[in-house]
Amino acid sequence: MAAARQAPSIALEEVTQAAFNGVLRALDARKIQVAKWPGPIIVGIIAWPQLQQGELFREMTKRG
Amino acid sequence: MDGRPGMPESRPPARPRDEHVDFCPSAQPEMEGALVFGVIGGTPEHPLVGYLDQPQDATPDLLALAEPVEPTEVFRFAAPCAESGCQHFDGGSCQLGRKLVQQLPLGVQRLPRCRLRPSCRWWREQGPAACQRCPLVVTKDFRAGPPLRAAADPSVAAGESSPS
Repeated sequence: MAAARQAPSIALEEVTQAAFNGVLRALDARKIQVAKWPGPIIVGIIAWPQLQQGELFREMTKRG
Repeated sequence: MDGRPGMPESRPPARPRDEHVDFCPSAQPEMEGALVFGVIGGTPEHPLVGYLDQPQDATPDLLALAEPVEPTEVFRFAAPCAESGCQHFDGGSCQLGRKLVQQLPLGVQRLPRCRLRPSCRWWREQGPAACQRCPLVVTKDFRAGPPLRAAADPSVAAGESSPS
């Protein structure tokens, strides 16, 4: 079923509406049952703890 | 822009500045060079990212559209890959992208019209299989199931089964 879905494209003038819908989705997602959903996770970049303070991490991510 | 209330201030569309830099497609908004390239739609149970025709700089005005939740619950951000600054980087490639392909089901059959793709590390390393799962990724996710949790956990190696 999921594979039949198609990721939509969003035109610039649609960003505000899409973001509003996204906020509603996110608020719904926060209505969690703690036993089933043990808390949020970060799916993405996770800096090493020693880099999370100060400017070092930002410096490391600077390009161009 | 057209002066629409709530729209970010008009500015030239942002693009990856250097085609030779790999961009992380699940970055944080405060990273240098961060771009918004997607908005998370769908439902809490079945999120589905929509892809911007023109990625935008992650400006304060744009981030404010996510209030009162965090921008990473609403938008997808790209930024230059931090490589050895990120726990998912194994010295040669992104283990997060690899694990997402291994552990998540197919999200979409047809590749999204994603403007980040030419610079995307997940695409370069994992190919279409990454793009077919990318729309399922919510950067800060309150409803992530075990496969996504395992993929997001740098301590779980690629190829390991997800914890129950």
